[in-house]
Parts: sequence; structure tokens; C-alpha cells
Amino acid sequence: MLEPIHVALGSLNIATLAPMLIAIVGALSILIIDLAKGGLHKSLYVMIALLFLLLDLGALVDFGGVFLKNGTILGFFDVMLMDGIAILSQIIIVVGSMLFIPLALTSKRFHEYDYPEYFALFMFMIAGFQFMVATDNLIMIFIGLETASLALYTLIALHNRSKSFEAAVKYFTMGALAAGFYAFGSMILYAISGSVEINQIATIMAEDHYRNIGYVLLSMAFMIAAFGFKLSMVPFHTWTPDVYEGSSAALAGYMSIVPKIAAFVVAMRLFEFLVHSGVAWLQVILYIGVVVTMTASNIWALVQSDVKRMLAYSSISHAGFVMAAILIGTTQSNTGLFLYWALFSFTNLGAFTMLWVNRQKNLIAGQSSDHPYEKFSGMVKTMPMAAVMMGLFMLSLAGIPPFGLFWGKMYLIGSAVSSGYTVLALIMALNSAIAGYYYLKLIVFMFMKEPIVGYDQYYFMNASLSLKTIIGIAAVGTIFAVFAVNPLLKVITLFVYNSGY
Amino acid sequence: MEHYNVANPYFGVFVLFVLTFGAFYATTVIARLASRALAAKDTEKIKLTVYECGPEVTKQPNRISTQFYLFALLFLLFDVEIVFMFPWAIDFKLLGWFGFAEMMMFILLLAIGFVYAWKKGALEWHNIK
Amino acid sequence: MAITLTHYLVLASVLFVIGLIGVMRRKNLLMLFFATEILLNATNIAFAAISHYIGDLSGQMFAFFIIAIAASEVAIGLGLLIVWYKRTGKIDLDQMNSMRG
Repeated sequence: MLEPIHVALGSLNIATLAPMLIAIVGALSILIIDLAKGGLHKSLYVMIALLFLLLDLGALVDFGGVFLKNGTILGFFDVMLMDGIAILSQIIIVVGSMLFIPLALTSKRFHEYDYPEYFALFMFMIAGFQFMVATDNLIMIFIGLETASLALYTLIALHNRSKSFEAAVKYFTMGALAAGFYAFGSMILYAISGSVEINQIATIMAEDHYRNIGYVLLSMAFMIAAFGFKLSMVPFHTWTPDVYEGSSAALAGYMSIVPKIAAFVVAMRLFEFLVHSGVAWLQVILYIGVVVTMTASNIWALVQSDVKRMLAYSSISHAGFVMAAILIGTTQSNTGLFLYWALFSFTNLGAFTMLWVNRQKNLIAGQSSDHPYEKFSGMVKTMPMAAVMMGLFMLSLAGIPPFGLFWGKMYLIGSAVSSGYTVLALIMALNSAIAGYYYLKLIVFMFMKEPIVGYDQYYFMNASLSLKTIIGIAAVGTIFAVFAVNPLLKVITLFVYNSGY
Repeated sequence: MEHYNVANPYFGVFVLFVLTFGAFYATTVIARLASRALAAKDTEKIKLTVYECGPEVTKQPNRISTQFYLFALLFLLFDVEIVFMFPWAIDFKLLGWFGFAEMMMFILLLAIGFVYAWKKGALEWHNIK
Repeated sequence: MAITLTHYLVLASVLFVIGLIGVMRRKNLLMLFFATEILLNATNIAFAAISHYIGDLSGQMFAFFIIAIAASEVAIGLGLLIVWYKRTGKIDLDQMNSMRG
């Protein structure tokens, strides 16, 4: 007769689940409130979501303090792993979500925000991303990834236009394929190491001196394909522009930031130990992937006639730029990754919100897509403030000195130079220069061309006080980033260094 | 692995740009060829029709309502959860109160989902016109 | 001839390739979902076999979670499919070409 096992509650460290549980409880309470009393205004749900996210953020900050004192916290049979990069990325995820949820408070009525399920799914998605980053168990990563992705497909489809369904179905098929690749890749890792925890896999592989290097590389090929889909690396990027165009601008902006930081953290955990152990082929594959992603997407962005598609290609290019940090793999470059993404999220938040406030219901005659360059033609004459804001975000994306992203770019390129990747640094700098061209194209349209009659009626049509506030926050974050960079760098370095990356 | 030690770094930049364009071109060509080779070609209509022993195929008079799909979908979701209860049921005694509490929590979450589906009217059969 | 682990792994790989070709080849969305199910279930076979071979249960756990996730994926996919069908009356991937560039 087997003795029943006793699990001491204290040894479980249930607190490590707290941040995700807060988000899940938030989602459930939104659903239950809807069941109890339907037909409430969307602002209530936005407030509930923000409240729970604030609690979530509080829990994370608390964990940050504990981490700096006691080091990495393990919990729940060592499945949950709260190290520095987990806490940092969760903070970026939660803050990013807090800035994107108020974009639901538009002045126009939208079909999807009438459903409380929208906000519940949003919270489930956040919990999924949090689970994904706060573990090094392959099973848990898979569950988090799929929870978040499935919620995201539904959110895209809720925007009631036929393009949105098309986008959701395309994203879904690509995502299902990526899930298959991920499962197969982790199966190979399990077959050669007998474990599903990344740090144990790393130890076992190091012990037998990479005897099965062929299989390791095969599994890494599957993993790169899976995360290539999530991070939209070339050649797995084909869905990105279509999905961004089909979904609402608010959601497209969200997609360009939060899912990617989660995927970056997992990629960091998965690829870094192999990069450090000198598995040359993986380095070569990553090197080619990074360079091709940066350059090819920049070239595609140059020929786009729609601002949203241009921003989609530009976000692919930025993802490639940041992927270089994982290739370099030093503490400095990983710090650069988080700094870059924090600054990038503010700038992209502003750019996509500017598209969101200028949304139009029907296309005017001769208009080919939702946000062609001509729409912003001569904007400075009709709405000077808006044009200046948009120009500011474009300059920051292009990496013009005093604004946010310049510091991120400089730090990343600096880390590439200091670890000997001179050529990579040059390619990164050159790509930033190419990228400047298409951002400046929009500025030229806004400041140098004559207004086209018909478009000006749509400027700021969708704006409300909360949307303007969000644009203000993004602008402040972009302009005054110069003062925040040094303290941010100190904190990020502390977290990244202490978790051993 | 050694970093790329090229005498003139600009030469390396040039080489990588050429490589980028090469890879870019290759991916488009490969994608086009692969999709051309693999894509299903529905050219022959007769070959694709259902074979019904000679007589011409009649169109199905009553289409199946999408409501069936909705039911199948809900059934599938709740049915698959047995996967997690099965191992627990086998080692029920071994897992003790801890396992019991966890399973109750799991069932509670499922119940919330069930009540939600019920209240939203997903389980009612809407009349078909 | 005894059936060894290799046989299971080969079976899993063959099924995976079948699923992969299905994803690339099928234009009908329902068939495409079938293909993704084959992809995931091929992995399940391999996980169960490896788990038995090395005497470790986490592989079977992974298989359980893949089953659950595959089910929820089908649920979401069918939901999208129903809406798409109600809107257009077709479930063909070739119909999805409103966005280009």
C-alpha cells in the first residue's frame, strides 16, 4: 500500500502564482458581473480591468524587491520561476496592457467593446503571457503561449469587419502550425535529454558534451520556426502585415509589443545556453535570420502605400533588430533588449493610437486602404498639434537623437561592438538609416504637401479624452526618455545580471 | 565560433547585403515553387464529384445547421477535460487531500465556464426557419 | 520483430510530415484544421512512447496538455469558421485575398 503523499503548503510557494491569478480572477469577475447584470457600460469593465492590472503590477513590484534580496524564487513544484527577466518582462506586459486597454474608450461605438467578453479575454491573454515568461518548463510555456494566442485570435475576430475575420483566420492557421512546430521541437529535446525543464536540458546536454548535436540542431530548427512565427521573423512573417491591417489599430499596436516581448524572453531562455556553448550552426542561423529580417522587411516597408502596413513591416524590422541581442547574448545586450522594448512600446503605442483616433468607417472615393499616406497629407495645416505628435513618434521610430528609441538603438549597437560583432553593428546602423527614409516619407506628407479635401473630416473623429491622454503619455514617454534611460538601465542591468543572462 | 574576421568591415557588409537579397529572392522562389507543386488543382470537376452509382448526384436538400457545430464544440471542450481527471482518478488515494483540493478547484473553474455557457443561451436549440 | 522506440518515432515523424503537407496543400479550412490536428497528435504519439521508454512521466503530462490545447484550438477554429461561413458561404482559403501588398 502506497502512502499518500503530503504536500506542505509552505513549500509550494503559491505566492509565485499570484500575479497570474490576479489577472485570471479579474477576467472571471468581469464574466460574473456580466452574468449577474448585463448591459453595463464598457467604461466599468475598463476600470475593473485596470484595477486588477494595477494589483498585478503591485504584486510584480513586490516580487522585484524579494528577487533583489533573495534571488530567484521557485514555486509550485519548481514549475514557476520568478527570476529577473521574468519579473521585468511581466512588468512590461502589464504596463503595456494598462496603456492599451483604455483605447477601448473611443468616442465612436464599436461592436466588440459592447461585449464584456472582450475584456475578459484580454485579461486571460495577459495571464497567458505571464505564465509563458515566468517558467522554464516547456509544458508551461506551451500552455501560456496557446492561452494567449487563442484569446488573441478571438479578440481580432471580434472587430466586426470581414477583413478582421480574414486576419483572424490567417493568424490562426499560422499559429496552429507554429504550435505544431513547438510541440515537435520540444519532443526532440525531451527525447535526447529526458526532461522538459530548460535548465535541466542544458545541464544534461553539457554533461554528455553535445553528443546528439544533430538532433539538438533539428529541434532548434523547429523552435526557431515556432518562435519565428510568433516574432514574425523573415521568412515566417507573411501573416504579419495582413493581420495588422485586418485588426483594429489598437489591437495591432498591442500585437506589435506584448506578444513579442513574451516570445523574446522564451527565446532568450531557449537559445542562450546554446549560443554560449558555442554551437556554431545555431549562431549562423540566428545571424542570417537577424540580418535578413532587418533588411528585407525594411525594403518591403519602403514600397508600402498604407501607413498601417508600413508600421507592420517596421515592427518586423524592429523585432529583427532586437533579436540581434539574443544572438550576441551578453548581459549588456540582454539589458539592451529590455531597454529597447520598453522605449519601443511607448513610441509604437503613440503611433498606433494616432491611427486609431483617425479611424474612418467608410473609405472615401479613390481610397485604397484604411490609412494611405495621402490621408495625412498636409495634416499640419488642419491639425497642427496632431501632425507634430505623429511626426514625433515617427522621428523616434527612425532613431533621431533626443527621442526615445535612439537610446535603445545606441545601447544595442554599442553592445554589439563591445562583444566583437562589428559587422552586425554596421548592418544594424545601416538598417536604421534605411528605415529613416519611410518614416520621413510620412513626415514629408504631413508637413510639406497640400491637404487633400475629404480626409480632414476624419481627423480625431474617434478621439475621446482618454485616448488623448494615452497619446499624451506616449509623447511624454518618448520625449523625456532621455532622463529615464540611465535609471532604467541601472534597474534593468541589476535584474538581468542577477538572473544570470 | 570565431566572429567574422574580415579585413575590411565594409566588405562584410556588402557580402551580407548580397546574402540578404539572395536569401530574400530564394525564399520567394521556393515559396512559389512549393505552393505550385503542392497546391490542390481543382480543374477536373467530374473527378471531384461524389460517386453515387451512376445517377447524377443530387444536391443535399437540407443543409446541416451550424448549430450542430456549436454543440459539438461545447461537447468537445468539456469532454476533453476528462484527460486531466483520469490520472487523478487512478492515483486518487496516493494524491490525498492535496490532489482532491486541486481537482475541486479545476472542476470549479469548469463549472464557471458551464454556467457561463448556459446563461448565455449556448445550450438552447434555436428554432430554424 | 520487436517494436522499438524507433518505430514509434518514425511513425510520429511520418504523421507529422503528412500533417505538414496537409497544412500546405489543403485549401479547405476544415481540412486544414484536420491537418493541424494530425500535426499535434503525431507529437503525442512520440511523447507517450519516449515517456514509456525512459520511464519518466512528464512526457505523458505534455501529451495530456497537448490534447487539451488541441481541443481548444479546434473550438476556436470552428468558431471562426462558422462566422466566416455565415458571412461568405464558403470555407475556402482562396477566398481570403482582400488584403495585398
